[in-house]
Amino acid sequence: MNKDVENKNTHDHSHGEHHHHHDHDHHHHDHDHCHCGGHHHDHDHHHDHDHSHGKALPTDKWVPHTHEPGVPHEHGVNDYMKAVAEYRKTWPTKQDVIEQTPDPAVREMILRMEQIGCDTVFDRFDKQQPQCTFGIAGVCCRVCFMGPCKITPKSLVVSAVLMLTLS
Amino acid sequence: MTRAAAGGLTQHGAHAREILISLKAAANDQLDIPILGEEKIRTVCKAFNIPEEGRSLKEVANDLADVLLEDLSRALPGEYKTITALAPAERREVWKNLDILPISAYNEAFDAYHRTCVGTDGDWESNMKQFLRCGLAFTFTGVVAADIATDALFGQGGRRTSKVNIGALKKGYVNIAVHGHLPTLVSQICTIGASEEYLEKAKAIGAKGIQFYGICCSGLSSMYRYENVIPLCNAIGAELVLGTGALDCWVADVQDVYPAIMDVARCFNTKVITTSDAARLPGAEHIGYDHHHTNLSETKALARKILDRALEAHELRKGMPVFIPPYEITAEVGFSPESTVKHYGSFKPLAEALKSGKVRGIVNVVGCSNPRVIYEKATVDIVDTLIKNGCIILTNGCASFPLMKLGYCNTDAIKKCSPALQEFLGDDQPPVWHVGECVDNARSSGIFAGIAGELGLNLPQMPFAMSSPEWSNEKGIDASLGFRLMGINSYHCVEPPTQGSDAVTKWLKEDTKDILGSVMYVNTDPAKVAEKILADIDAKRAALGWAEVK
Repeated sequence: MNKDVENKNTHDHSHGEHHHHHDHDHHHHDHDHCHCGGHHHDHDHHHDHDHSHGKALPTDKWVPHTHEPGVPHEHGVNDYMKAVAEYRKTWPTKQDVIEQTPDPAVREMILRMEQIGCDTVFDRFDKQQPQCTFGIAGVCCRVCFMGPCKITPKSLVVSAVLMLTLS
Repeated sequence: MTRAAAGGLTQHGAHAREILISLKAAANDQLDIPILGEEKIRTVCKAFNIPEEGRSLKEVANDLADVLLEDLSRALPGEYKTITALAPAERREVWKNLDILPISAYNEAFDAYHRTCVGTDGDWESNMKQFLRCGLAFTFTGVVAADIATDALFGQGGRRTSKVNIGALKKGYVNIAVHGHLPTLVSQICTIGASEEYLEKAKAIGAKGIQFYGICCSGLSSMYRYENVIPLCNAIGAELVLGTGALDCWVADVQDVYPAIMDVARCFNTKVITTSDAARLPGAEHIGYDHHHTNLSETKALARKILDRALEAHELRKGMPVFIPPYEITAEVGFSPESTVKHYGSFKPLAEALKSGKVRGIVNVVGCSNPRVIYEKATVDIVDTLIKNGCIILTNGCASFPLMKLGYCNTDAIKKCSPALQEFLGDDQPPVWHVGECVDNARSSGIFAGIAGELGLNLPQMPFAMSSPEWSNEKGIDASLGFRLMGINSYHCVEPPTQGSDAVTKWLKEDTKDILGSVMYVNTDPAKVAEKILADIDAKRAALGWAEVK
């Protein structure tokens, strides 16, 4: 990762009047965070003030960045559940393919295969639904055998308590 | 599974590559560090038919590095020279007949990824053949070549007594941890850090001196070779050690460096420095070699820069709360085939002791740690039962930490052994022989092969076993596979990810008996694993007509 890119986005974290002293998800900074507006999060907090900052960053892409220890900050896991649910709705069923695929030969062969009782990729794709939300969002990992793991609000450790204890 | 084996191959393979690059650079004066393992180099060259008589050490070291690099990276089909030179003839025949002889480490990882790409190898048995090829390339380049190159460049290190565990952390010192696997830069950090110049620098900022601590395999390989490195914990324990607040600087390279260390380091203002282009951590400072190793010749300057950062961090961290639990012990370390021969005169006394039953069997207990089982307990429970029942243990890597910390590598542990084993060990050999870092499985294999050779027997016949009770890593798949490829059973408390396929599970755990002469046994209960190891060892003893051990 380019150093310039890394530091460029070290942003100011004083969000209006509540300067709260905790740390959400200040870890895993290499995953890029989305600061698009309307973003909400549901981590476990040790406080109960409202947490949706209207002041979202004016960025339309995922920008890697670093933070100083203890700097309060809003981000972490974005609402991929919703995004994936929306994305999934766009996926065609076998019926959609039969109705809309442009080549009539393809359509006829799909129907022919159905008649002779032979599965095709379109049957198999239907049978895989619903596919794993975590996998679709790219937040799961099965590289080692302590996992599989997935990135969720719950799985992100908050070391704020420790930081406060020490400060 | 095939991809996991390929992943593991790249882990140890990259480890081997780094050291081979260093060895070659040292032989060609591009890296200003001495080549300390002349005896090892000349012995190995004989096995490879590399002419060495009358040639300078640097010339010979260069040629040895070339041969090992060739096995790492060969693109065209050809002979895997390390296998030809160093594998037992009986095994070579087995592998040849199975058509699993690898072309090169790079090729087998490449092939494994290719054939598992979409729409390619749909035959699970063909996949498993590639799995075996990855295992052989892992063993002979990732483990054997890495081990040879490390001993060649940095010397083998000998038997010594080392302090271990967290209580050995020293207040008032500039405390530096080295974490990971790559020895080149670490060797210079430890050497320069021990110099009078740096002692003065440390004193100038009010510290008593500089102390190094080892985490994971960097700790083990450097503990063997430099006086001033105290091993503290394995990879999983890294956060706990950082949580003492006693570390000023944490130098991390590759593998088993979990990103979570950054959270704890932030809390305690510990300076984290990454040194490998392949392994960066956001929030850490990077001082290391670039991707093309163009700054390899600047190794000493990099080491100094890192030491200077540690001194700065020490000053900045004054007053940081420190909590050090008072647990500290000593461990005997530095065992190897060479040290075994040196101690006993040859492998014969060990071979005789096995035959007579004074030693029931020899078990290599290694591997990572895994939160799926109680941390460090499976390893300790298995070893405790095995030594009570007359087995000698070889150990290295992450699994060796609990054994060191809980006294099994101390000569006092002789008291825990069966009377017959106590008699064989005498007063100065502990029941657990610490052979080093994870690539030092080559040393364990060397001891196994030495004893089998002494008796004129093949490895699958011998009362040997390999156990990685708490394995967790892709290279852990290859490590146990490597021993099964040698015909030695492997035993574990963690399941491989094959429960979704009866065919693959049966092949992996049972059917390899027919083709390799070995099996994989998994049981989440460490007591059952120890019981099974002993039963299988006894069956092998019975088949050889050796004395029954009660």
